[in-house]
Amino acid sequence: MIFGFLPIAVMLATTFLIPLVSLKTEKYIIHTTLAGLFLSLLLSISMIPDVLSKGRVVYQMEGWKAPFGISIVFDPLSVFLSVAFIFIVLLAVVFSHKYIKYKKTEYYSLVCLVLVGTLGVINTGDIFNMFVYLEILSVSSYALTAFFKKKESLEAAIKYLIIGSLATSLVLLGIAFIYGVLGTLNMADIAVKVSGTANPVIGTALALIITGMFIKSGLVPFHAWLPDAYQASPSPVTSIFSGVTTNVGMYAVLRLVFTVFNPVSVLLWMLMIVGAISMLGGALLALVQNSLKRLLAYSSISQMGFVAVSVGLGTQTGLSGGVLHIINHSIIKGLLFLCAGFIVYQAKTDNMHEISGKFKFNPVIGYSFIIGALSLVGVPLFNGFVSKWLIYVATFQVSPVLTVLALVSSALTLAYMLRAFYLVFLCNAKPGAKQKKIPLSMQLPLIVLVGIIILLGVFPGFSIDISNLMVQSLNKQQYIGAVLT
Amino acid sequence: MTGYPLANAAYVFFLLALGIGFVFYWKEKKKTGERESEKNKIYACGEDMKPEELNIPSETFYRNLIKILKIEKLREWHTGVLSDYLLWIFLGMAVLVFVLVITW
Repeated sequence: MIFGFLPIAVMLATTFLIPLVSLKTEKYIIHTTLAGLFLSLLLSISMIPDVLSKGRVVYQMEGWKAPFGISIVFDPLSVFLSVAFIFIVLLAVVFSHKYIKYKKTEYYSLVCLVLVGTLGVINTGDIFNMFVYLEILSVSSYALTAFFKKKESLEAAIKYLIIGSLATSLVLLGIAFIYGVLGTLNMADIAVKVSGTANPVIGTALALIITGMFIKSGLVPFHAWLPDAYQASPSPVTSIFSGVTTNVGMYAVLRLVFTVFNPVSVLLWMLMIVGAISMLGGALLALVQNSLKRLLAYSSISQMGFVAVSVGLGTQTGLSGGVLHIINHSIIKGLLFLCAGFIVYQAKTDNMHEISGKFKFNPVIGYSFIIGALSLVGVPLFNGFVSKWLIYVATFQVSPVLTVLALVSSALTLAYMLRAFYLVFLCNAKPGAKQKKIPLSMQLPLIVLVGIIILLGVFPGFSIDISNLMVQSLNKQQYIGAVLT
Repeated sequence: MTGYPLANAAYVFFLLALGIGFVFYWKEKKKTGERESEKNKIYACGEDMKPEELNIPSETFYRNLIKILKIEKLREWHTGVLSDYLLWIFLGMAVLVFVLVITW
């Protein structure tokens, strides 16, 4: 089924088409990027009926059968995540139209390359291939972090580069250990062979890969690169980082722990502990930030902590809550970072104490921000409530202490988001301050994201059903059966 | 009716209540017209005070909470020095490797 590989191929082609299109004029770059993204989105959506009816669609590259060739595996988890991530990138690109005024060729090419890496990691069935796509994603992210070429952007990019390279090196080392012991790189074949081995080298390999993925997800204590990188990047890129790339690390943890390796209890405990520390630590640190983007960055660490705790429970409800929170967090943070992008674009600073005097309350931005904030807290009628409710229920079934920690973290989320709203929109607000007209290309993504947040919040059954389907695709035996036969 | 349909129904009722609330608010607003200017004035024991003078100082927002939870200490650990950050990562990795190798 060659059709399935097309979303990745289309984005790769778009990446190389953009510099060609810009040879004569930069006018059509945005059109080319949007066309590529739309096509990729439509192709991914067209996979949904097939995946829902068959459960899993496997494409063997160049006809080489697994485990010898590279398998591309599409299941509800990978396809729905692909659709969500392409959509977030699409909206960030629409927002970028008026935001990015120079070096458009480099910018849009790199954004497309980030998506190529993301889709590759999510859909591949080969662990080395996963590393290659992770590198594509990482290298383009480093370049995007340094995009503004300011002192702080370069410093953040270098930090991100060094820590990110350490992460991918650890992943590669882990893969080398696995190949050395099991003699295969195919994830389904690894799943078969790992079941009968008690070799501690496999434990070491898994620990190295998980550490690499924790760094990519920004979980405490592997999170240090994240606030700097988020603060220094262009705001639409930050929305992609927070809504897409950070979640890729968590997806890899999910896939490797539950489908490829065995979800041993000690690993789940580690996930819960790291998750709980991130959940609380991220929220506490967000409370004392003066930079709006940095506050949202620490909030992302906290929300990833929620996902890790929920996934670490290993129960059906916990996994559903975790997977759904990945998608909901993508949407919410996509919205909040785009709002922050507009605020920073208008106020020319991201310091919340300085913003308030320079920024006049704008209904689109203000209401979008407060809706995003309330959804992040987990207030009913918004999508964040649905996943957080599942997380509360799942934690309560296993350990009420975790529920209390999750509730405290949510209360802290409310505290720092209200503080942000107060400082940006209410404190020192100047009623007479001039207000710049918001371009439609900046308003549209916000309105769409707000609509999705409310829609998924008002009709939670739909998203819960999808998250249950996504969790079912983690089934190890079904995965092995589909890839190796 | 159990599970998700019930949750959906609850949401619909929630929305309905919200809608009814808005209708009442809108009708009341229409009846009374624009808000009187007196309502916007701040009562400060007879003193004239501008709204911005009564703002909560942003620097002291959650001051006590920050003090009790010792968040500044957490902040101090984020030195911005790359080698410190790498040390955290190596410590975290060491714990993960140790635990997984012992128990595998």
